[in-house]
Amino acid sequence: MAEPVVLRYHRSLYATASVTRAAERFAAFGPAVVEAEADVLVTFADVPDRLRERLPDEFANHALFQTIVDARAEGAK
Amino acid sequence: MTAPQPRRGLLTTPLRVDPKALAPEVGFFRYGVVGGKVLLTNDGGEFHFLPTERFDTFLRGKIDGEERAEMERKGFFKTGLDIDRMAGRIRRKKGFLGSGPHLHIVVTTLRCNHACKYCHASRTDMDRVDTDMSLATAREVVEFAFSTPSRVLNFEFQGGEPTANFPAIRFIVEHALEKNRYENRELLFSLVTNLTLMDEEKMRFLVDNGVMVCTSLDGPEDLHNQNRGWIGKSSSYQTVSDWMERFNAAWVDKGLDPNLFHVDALMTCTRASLSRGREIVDEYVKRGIKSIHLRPLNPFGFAVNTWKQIGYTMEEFLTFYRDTLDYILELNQAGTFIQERQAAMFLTKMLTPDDPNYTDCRSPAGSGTAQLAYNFDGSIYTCDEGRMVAHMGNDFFKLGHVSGSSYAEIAAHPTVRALAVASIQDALPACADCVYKPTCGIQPLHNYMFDGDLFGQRPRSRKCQEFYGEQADLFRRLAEDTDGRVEKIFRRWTIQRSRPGTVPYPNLPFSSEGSA
Amino acid sequence: MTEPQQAAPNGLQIELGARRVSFVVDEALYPLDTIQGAAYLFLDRCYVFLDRPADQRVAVVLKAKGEADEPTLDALAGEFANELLNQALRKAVGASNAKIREFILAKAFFSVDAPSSIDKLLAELDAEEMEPLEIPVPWEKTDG
Repeated sequence: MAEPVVLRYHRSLYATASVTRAAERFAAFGPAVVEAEADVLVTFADVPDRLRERLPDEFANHALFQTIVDARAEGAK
Repeated sequence: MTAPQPRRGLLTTPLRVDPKALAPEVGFFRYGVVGGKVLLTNDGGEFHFLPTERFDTFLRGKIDGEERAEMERKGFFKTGLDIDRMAGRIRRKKGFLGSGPHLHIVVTTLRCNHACKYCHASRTDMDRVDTDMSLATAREVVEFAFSTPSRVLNFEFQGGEPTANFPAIRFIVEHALEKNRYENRELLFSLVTNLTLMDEEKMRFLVDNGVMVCTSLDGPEDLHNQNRGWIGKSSSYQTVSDWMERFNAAWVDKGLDPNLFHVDALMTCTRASLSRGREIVDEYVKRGIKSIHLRPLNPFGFAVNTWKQIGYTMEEFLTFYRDTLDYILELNQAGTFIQERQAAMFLTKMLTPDDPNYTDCRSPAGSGTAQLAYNFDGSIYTCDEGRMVAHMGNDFFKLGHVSGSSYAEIAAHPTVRALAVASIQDALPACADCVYKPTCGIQPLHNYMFDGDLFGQRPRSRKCQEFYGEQADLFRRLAEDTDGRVEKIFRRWTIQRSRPGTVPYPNLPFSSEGSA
Repeated sequence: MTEPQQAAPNGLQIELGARRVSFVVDEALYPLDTIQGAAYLFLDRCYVFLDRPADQRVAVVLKAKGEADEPTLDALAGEFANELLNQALRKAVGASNAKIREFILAKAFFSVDAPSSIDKLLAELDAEEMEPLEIPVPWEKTDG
């Protein structure tokens, strides 16, 4: 079995709840989101070989997008 | 190999600024660069152009003289700010809030005798009469529409091909007119049809009862037929042409103003259209049609499968749009009146205190609040696209049913609220800061269909690219319009001459007063 | 990886790599929301990564989606830095006008218009004394 893909984001820059919401859209790759010290860790257990290089990039944008949208919505309350 | 050129972002601003220079008396504004100038816009829908070298002067509060007075009047400075005027403008711009749905789309059947390459309406074959709206359901549709609070009720018949179930159309028109004897709303009827099932009897009914007709006309014969395949026949163009002429003549026979009463047409732009903008416009002008809507194709419905053949990038569409608008303006300057409808919609927001309440370009969006769609089986959806999403197996945009739901339940439905939240520009990144925010709007359903997300990612959003590009082009033309000739044409396009609404008694002469 | 180079606007030190350019932003100069505002506008054409190398510092990495040469990456960083300035200006404009905008919007949506002259007149008529037959009696004709 291939190694899982593990991504790390600083909690002060990527909200855990937002990363979790972004991960739901990548459900096909078996994501799991945990907090570890200052970081949010996202582990993708089922990533096909052909997507291993691209997944971190694509997910990073989704995680950032969701963080910014949620932060904006909070600020608008 | 040539090095890839850096592509400037859609929404970034190519202007070096000094935030520390901001003087306290400068009012609220958004800004961008268009036509080589800095464009300022504000909450009241006012706009102002500044040469780029004077932007810093403005930030420092050092604009003076007549220009200062003009900018104060528009609300770009706190000094001299007329708060009542600004509040009044904002209120007027959002005057559509709280009115209730005025547009009621009624899908009388899913049956259709065409198989257009880009169709995104769910359709079935002509033998599927089980997809016809029953008269009982039609009655409930009318009852439900009248239970909504809008003073204006516009029943728009769609399909499939709606005339395949003409009894439902006839019933709804007659029942609505009868009911309106007591309700006294402003009633409007419109029929979106391919005209290929039309006959004299149907035409008489439609003309006598004030039902306006809108058809599809994609351009010259070969282009139209290429896009719109009539099953079992070779050409729909000639049939469309013939019936357009007959309807127009029938309205003239009734003594009605042909500028107001004529068959409207819509075109859909496919890849084949991109190089033929002038011919398409000429086709419309030839028929005396005064309005053309240059609409891009969306990768939904049938178009998903045919996209490689008929699709294009938004950049390609915007090039087509600009070039075709150039030609339309040339014609106007030479004395031929024809407006581009998308431009007219934006220009109404730019140049007048009003909002045209175009449900697909509003904030908050009009789906579920300004419009409802009733499927043949009586299910109620936020809009026609919502119905299409349901046909693909997702009921998220289904709000209820005419026989079991109340308007209060529909209005408070979580999906309606979600659409509203997803289309409040002030709460969305990029939209909140965008220079075109006062004149723009959001259709979350497009984001959902394109991205799987109601909110959408702004720079990637195809609708954002379309709206941004169109508004940028219109403002550019205004920025470059040194002699005012273009603005004069644009202002003509914003004049609304509404057809009088159908009176309660169709035998009485039409009112000479325009409708709201 | 090439040597760090000076970016054109506001002196960001950029580092170029394969398909990527990175720089560090001082949060004291550009708060996080301005960095986020700028980053959002680049999501369509590159991959954007944020990290925190130190307190009050945000590292920004922009990774091209395809091949990109040095001038392209350099221009990308320059545009991002420029957009930081624009975001900062927008924030300043917003802060400077927050209270008055709230007041104006409240007035637009939650206040009643000043009474029209007709309404005023009707209000005056209502306030006058009325005969049993509800014929208004001018004040100078009433007792006391």
